[in-house]
Parts: sequence; structure tokens; C-alpha cells
Amino acid sequence: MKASIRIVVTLMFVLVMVVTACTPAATPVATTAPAQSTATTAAKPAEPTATKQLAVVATATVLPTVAASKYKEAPALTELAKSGKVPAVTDRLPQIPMVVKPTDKVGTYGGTWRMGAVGGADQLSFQRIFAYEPLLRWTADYSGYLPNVAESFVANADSSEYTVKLRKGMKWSDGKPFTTEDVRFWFEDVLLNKDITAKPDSIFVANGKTVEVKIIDETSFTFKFAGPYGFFPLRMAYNAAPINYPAAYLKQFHTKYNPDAAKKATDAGAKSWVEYFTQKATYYTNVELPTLYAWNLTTPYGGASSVLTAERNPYYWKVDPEGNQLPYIDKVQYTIHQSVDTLVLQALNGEVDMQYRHFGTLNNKSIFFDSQQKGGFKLFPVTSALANTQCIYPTLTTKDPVTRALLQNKDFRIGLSYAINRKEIIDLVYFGQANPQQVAPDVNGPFANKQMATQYTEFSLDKANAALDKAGLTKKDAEGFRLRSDGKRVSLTVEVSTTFPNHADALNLVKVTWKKVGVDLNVKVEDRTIQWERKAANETELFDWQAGGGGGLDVMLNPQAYFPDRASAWFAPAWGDWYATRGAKGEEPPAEMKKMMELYDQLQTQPKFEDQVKLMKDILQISADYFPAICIANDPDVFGIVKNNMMNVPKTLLESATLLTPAPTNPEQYFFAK
Amino acid sequence: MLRYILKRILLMVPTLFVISVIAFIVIQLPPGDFLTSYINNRAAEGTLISNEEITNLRMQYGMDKPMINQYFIWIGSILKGDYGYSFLYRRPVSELIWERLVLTFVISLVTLLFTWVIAFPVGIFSAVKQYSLGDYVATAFGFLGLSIPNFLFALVLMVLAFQYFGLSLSGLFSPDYVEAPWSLAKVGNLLQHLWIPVIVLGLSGTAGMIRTMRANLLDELHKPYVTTARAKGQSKFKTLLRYPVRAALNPFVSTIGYTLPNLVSGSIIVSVVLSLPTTGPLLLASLMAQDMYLAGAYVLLLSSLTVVGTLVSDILLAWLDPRIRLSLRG
Repeated sequence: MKASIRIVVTLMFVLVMVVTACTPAATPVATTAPAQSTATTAAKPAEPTATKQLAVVATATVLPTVAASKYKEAPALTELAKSGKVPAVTDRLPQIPMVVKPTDKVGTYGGTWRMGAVGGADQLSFQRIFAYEPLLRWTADYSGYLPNVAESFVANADSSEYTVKLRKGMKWSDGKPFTTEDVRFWFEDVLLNKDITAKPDSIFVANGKTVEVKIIDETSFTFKFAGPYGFFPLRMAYNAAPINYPAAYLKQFHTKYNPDAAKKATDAGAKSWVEYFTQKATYYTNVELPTLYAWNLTTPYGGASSVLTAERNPYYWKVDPEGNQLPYIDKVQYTIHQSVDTLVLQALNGEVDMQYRHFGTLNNKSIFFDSQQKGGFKLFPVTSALANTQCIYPTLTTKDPVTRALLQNKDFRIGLSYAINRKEIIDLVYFGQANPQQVAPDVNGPFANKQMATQYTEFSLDKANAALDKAGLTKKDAEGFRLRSDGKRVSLTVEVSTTFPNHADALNLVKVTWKKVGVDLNVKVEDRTIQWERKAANETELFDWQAGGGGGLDVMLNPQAYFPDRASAWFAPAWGDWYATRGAKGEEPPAEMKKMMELYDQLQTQPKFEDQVKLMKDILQISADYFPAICIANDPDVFGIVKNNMMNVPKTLLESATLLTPAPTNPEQYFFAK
Repeated sequence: MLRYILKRILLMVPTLFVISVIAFIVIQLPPGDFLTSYINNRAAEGTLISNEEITNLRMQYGMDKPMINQYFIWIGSILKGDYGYSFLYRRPVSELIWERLVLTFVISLVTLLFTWVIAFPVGIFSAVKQYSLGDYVATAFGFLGLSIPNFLFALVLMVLAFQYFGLSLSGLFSPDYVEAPWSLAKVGNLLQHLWIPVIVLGLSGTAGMIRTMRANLLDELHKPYVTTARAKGQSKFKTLLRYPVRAALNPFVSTIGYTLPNLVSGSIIVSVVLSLPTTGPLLLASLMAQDMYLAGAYVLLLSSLTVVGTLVSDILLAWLDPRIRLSLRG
């Protein structure tokens, strides 16, 4: 009896071992959303699909119009119009409203869209849904831009002058007319007013001179720059100015128009009239501010109320192809959470209608997948426009001279890169959902650069050792760690933020393999403010973060993964500072960096979009040859949830901070099916 | 006695002054200031923030004066009753704190009552029926609440409520009731949400009180005067309450001082985890953003309440315990 029991137990043991060894790595369980279109998601080699064309639509094309007699409105607004509180719909809409093509079909009115925001500084949650009405807007796939508030936005031959035509008859949310007077107010009384604006934003500066705004008539004006500035429209698709200052309302807070403005400000507790003016001009602190948005907040953000509701704007200037005034949905309701956990709980319980921000992470995917039935929602994939999911950026301008020399040595970086087992990290930390890759633009996109994406991604301790030997680190100490030129051990600290819990795990794996080639790595997890503070002061050695600038137009707008273009750049902040301040601060970069910066300056002046793209590709090639950062893998897809009764939501979303997803997908045409 | 009270009140002024200096220094200690952490946060989120915007913000917020000047400006306006302007929320500080004060007070008061109502009788019961089954059960529950971290306990309760009752109990009201006017239904909704924070916060306080009560009472119960009182014919209940319990109350009354600031601050971490709209998360947010005026005013408020509360509890103690009254007289 005893012997047979032993045999059975051994057999079971063996069986268990065999089963666990043979179970395939956790593959993504098929979500109910249709098959994903980009090949970068599944762990297969990326097959080049037809490269997406970049397209910009900014000229005065013939817009689809709807006959005014066919305009229809939400039932609640019909009531208001009947009782005389608001004018009839034909008077509320501009002469040529913007026609929004629905994602699937024309919708019906009604419903409340519930979402969650986290903390007291989550304004982006509003900006990404409704507070995105610039002159030009991005296309949903980030391949170009379209006219939005502007009916047309035309450049002259050398792109130094832009003529903008607004929509005649368009109104602010309080019913007052929206005209070029509001643009003039912004230009003369905000931008050029030294109390409010110490220095105009670089968007409005070309050739060192600030833009000149000339008003032609009630609906047309021009931006006149001192030189060619082909990049301007791209910048405008991301900028709220010049149409976010309703003149008629704000004049009462401006000392030029109201001599009592200063007193009004101090009475209300503000420190100066400028502070009061700024507070009054911000839509989420002052809910009486007239806006052009589809919904407007009814209580200010930051109050004790844990629920904020944004209600329909009766004067919203967009319609669907059948003439129904948008938005379809009556209200957008935000629950303000203090921590993500309560938001996750609400979402699992089906109390969030459509969202991916804050909780749509790989770590949460399985619990949301399991709760689909109970919560009445389905998951949809969210692809990333990041250039990489995790990068170890050497701070090339770090203060210590020996470390700096080491980090600036390309062979050293190559060696470190070869000594990373990316496949293992992807399988263990990223659920097998990514491919090994360096920081690079989308491998399926128009800026794809194969060398940049795949160089030094092989895991080879031999090649790593060879490169490190070539870098001059031939001496080793008793424990096998290499020694620097000053005799100290090659020991680097990588600072990683608590914002990315997976990164620290990955870095601990990197530590193991780097030890094998004689490099000591300390993984320091800290709060992100400290991390960024230290990087800004050039005190970090290695800085761990994601990499933006991978998908769509992000490559051109956010190039800091390729060369440092600002003081907060991920690698070499001092060189970025030098570029941003035109040499006033920071440190002069080496020749290759300066070349990229020169090309980028040129890029911004090019009138033709194709020329801008060509220059960007040149910059990318120089960056590929320089190889500034050591990165792990492309960013895996994450997910979002949408309730089963919510329609016209796209099947997938492309996420990028500059794209302000999902705003370019026209949330005003989402609706609830009856 | 009166002289003692007057002396204490006079001592409050330098105490508060020292506290204000320390608070100011500590809040400013982390590298950078409100603007740098604001800028770094925006940059970390991927928002393109330009150098010019930074210059503009710096000018707008007036963050260019040296530390000492900033301190005296701040303290000067506090004394005038002006608590300053919060950079983070762009509103006057007094408005921000006032809005949340009532709700915080309500939660803390209910928690306090819950703790006392449970702890006193159970503590007395534990002492009187020492080593009985009831004693063990009560003690076990108490220790359970004491040893599990508050925020973990809150999360567990939330998950249990979700799994078995299908309720997501975050915050104090369901989204539909938050803006609605007060009605019976709204009160019902509040009670439905209130039990989690009250239990989480109350249970750990209960354990401490039960054990202290029990220990003190056990000391007193074996003293000769209790036997004498019983021998003279007094009922068990009356004996218990009139003498030993009064003596055992000493440590409770001396900690009343801390309940006053607690009533106002609530428990910060539990409030954050449960998304309660109280003053706790306000303090956390302001400290993380280095919002000097909001954080500073809040810390000063709490310190003043602590100092006042300690005085109140000392007076109460003197009233309760004749031994202390006599020692104060000199």
C-alpha cells in the first residue's frame, strides 16, 4: 500500500511539473472588440502594413452643409426655446455649423455619461472629453488636422501669414456673438499685456518676433509672422488660444476696461487683479465663463463636491449630417475620486459609461475582463503612440565628470543595451504583450526607421562584453565589476518613479544581467516630483521613463526622445535648456545634437508639409546613429471600457497626451441607445 | 486654579509661534516649490509646457521673494484673518477648508461616539467578567481592528460590499444624491455609505480603549474600598460606576485633547482610499503640491486646536480627579 501511494504522489508531482511547463505564456484573452488592426500588439514580428499617409486638411474646402430648415435639437432645448429662454435653433447655430460625421450612425438625444477623475489636479480629464475646441483639431488617427472653430485656415505662399475665417453667427455659451473682437481682446489685452504675459509662448514667435494679429472684419483675421512658419497649424491643433477669452465677459476683470478691477480682485481674496483675471478666465474654476464647448461645468473643480456635472451648451455650433444639433448626450458627470481604487470599483460595478484614463492598465485588464457581464460593458483596445514603453535615459549632462564621460561613450551604451534580456522582461513583466524595441517611431507608420527600432536589441553577453571592453573598461575588481578611469567601480543609479510599477520590476531584471557583464546597477524607486527635480538639476545618472513621440504627428511635435528640445528633456536636460533658451542657459551640446536642433528649427519654417516630414526623417536618422537611450520594448495595447448601450464610440483608440484622446474622436456624437 | 488656566493660555502664544515657524520650514523643505512641482507634474504627464509659460507662471504667483520675507508676509496676513490663496485650487484657503469642515466634523463625531459607545461598556464588561468567553471575543475583535491597517481594512470592506451586495461604496453619497437637496432618501444613502468609514476608523480606536479600560478597572476593582462599598450593601452596578470607573477614566479624559484636532482632520489615508470629501485629502494634496498657503493654514489650524484641546482636557481632568485639583492648588 505504502509503495503505491508513493508512486501515485510522484506521478502527480511529475504531472503538475509537466503541465506548468507546457502551459503557454498568458496570451491576451480575446476581448469582444474586433481584431486589432495594428500588428504591434500581439507578440508576433511586426509585418509592415501600408504606411499611413499623413494628411493635413486646412484649406477652405467646400464643407458639407445642411439646410437650415432641417435643423433639429434636443427636446429639453425645444422646451427652453418655446418658453423664450433661448432663441430658436436656427438662431443659435452659426450660418455654417460644423458637420460631424458620426462614427457609426446618427444618434438620439438623452442620457448622462458617467466618468471618474482622480485627485484635485485632473483637469486633463475635462480637456480630453469636452474642453478641446481649438481653431484646428486633430484627426482621430493623429495623421493630420482639420478645421474646427475656424471655418478655414489658409496659409500664404511661404507660410508666413495665415488667414483665418471664423464661422458667421457663432455664439458663446451665454448667447453672445463670437467674433474677431474676442481674438483682438486675446491679442492686445492678454498676449501683449505685460502684466498677464511676461513672455509670449514660443508658438506665437517666429524669427524672434512675436506674431502680429490683424483683424480684417467680424469673422476674418490674420496671423502675420516675421518669417516662414510652416509648423504653425500643427501647434494650433493643440492650443486653446486665441479663442478662449470671451471679451464681453472678461472685460469686467481687466484693469484696462474696468478701473475697479483691482479692487474687485482683492475683495474676493485674490492677490492681484491678474490672478483674479486668470482664475475667472479658467473654465474649471469659474463656471460662469462663456465657452465654445459641448458641455459646461456647473460647479467649480476643487470644491468639496465629489461629483461634477457638465451640462449641454444650447449654443454648441456642430450638427450631424441630418441637421441634429450636437451633443446627443445631455450631461457628463464626473465623480472625483481621491484614489484610483474607488474609481476601479465604480467602473467594475458598471457605474462608468466610457473611460480608459487612470484605470486602463495591463495590470487591471484581467479583473475588468472578468467583470464585463456583471458590469454591462465591454473592453476595447487602446493603442499607444509612445515610442517605447520603458527607456533608461542616461543623463548625458550629469554633474559628475567621470560618470558623464562614461555615459557619453557610445560603446558603453551599446554594451549596456546588449546586456539586457528584453524577451525575459517582456514575458515576466509585460505579460508577453510587446516586442523588443529601442525608442523609435511606430514601425508601421510613415516615420518608421528600422535601424533605430532594432539596433542593439539582441541579448548577447559576448557582444556586451566586447563593447564594454572597447569603451575602455577593461580592468575589473575582485567581484568582477569593471573599474572606471578613476579606479572606482562602474556603479550607476537608475531613478524610477512609483508612477510605473512595472518599470521597477523590469529594472531589477536588468540589474541581474548587467552584473554578469560587470556593471553594478542600483534601482532607486522614488516619487516622480523628486525624480524630475533631480533630473532638472542634472543630478541623476540614469533616468527611467516612457518615451513619447512614437505615433502619428507626435514624432514631430514631441521629439524629445530623439534630441533634447526643452529643459525637461528626458536625457541631457542641460542641452535641452540650451536649445529652448537659444543659448542663454544650459550647456552647449555636441555637433550631432546641434545639427538635429538646426534641422528642427528649419522644419518649423517649411511651408510644405512634405518638406517638414523629410527633415524629421533626417533628424531621426542622426538620432539613430547617436543612440542616446537604452530602451526595452514597444508600448503594449491597453484597454478601455464602454457600456453596451453607448454608441458611436470608435472600436479602438490611439492614445497620446498631445492628441488628447478621446477628444479628436468627437465625443459630442457619442450617444446612448434607447 | 484660575491662575493655572491663565498661565496655560499665555503659554499658548509662544507655542503656536514656534509651531508656525516649524510648519513653514518643513513645508518648504522639499526641493523646489509649488511651481516646480506643478511644472514637473505637467511635464511628466506629457503636456508640452514651454519656458515662456513657466516665466509667466512665476510672475503670476509672485514666487520670487526670499524665504524670511515670505514667512513674515504669511504670518502677518494670518493674524489679520486672511488665510491666503491656494495655488492648487485657485481659491481662498478659508473657503476650501470651510466647505469640507461640516462633513468632516460629522464623520469624526459619529466615529468618536461609535468608539465610546462600544468601548466603555465592553471594557467594563471585560474587566468585570475577566477571562470569560465574552471577554475573549471582545478583545479578539478589538485586536483585529487594531492590527489590520486602516486603509487595507477599508479596501477589504469595499470589495466585500461590491462582491456580495453589488454596491460600490466610495465617497459619502452615490453620484445621484451628491447634488440633490436633503431628503429622507439622501439621509438613507448617507447612512449606507457612512458605515464603512465609521467602522474602519472606529474599530482600531475601540481596541485601545477596551484594553486600557479593562486594565485600569482591574486595578481598581481589587482595591479595599470596593469591597467595603459592597459589604456596606451598595448594589454592584452603582458601586462600579461611582468609584472604579471614575478612576479608570483618567487616561481617556487626558486624550480628549487630541480628539479636537481629529474631529477636524479626520483620518487622511482612509479618506483618500475611500474618496471621502473631507479635509484630510485636502491636506495631502496641498503637501504634495507644496501649496504653501493651504498647507500652512491647515497645519496651523490643527495645531491651535490641539493646544486648545489639551488645555480643555487638562481642565476636565482637574474637574474629574480631586487629586489633580489639589496638586494644582499648590
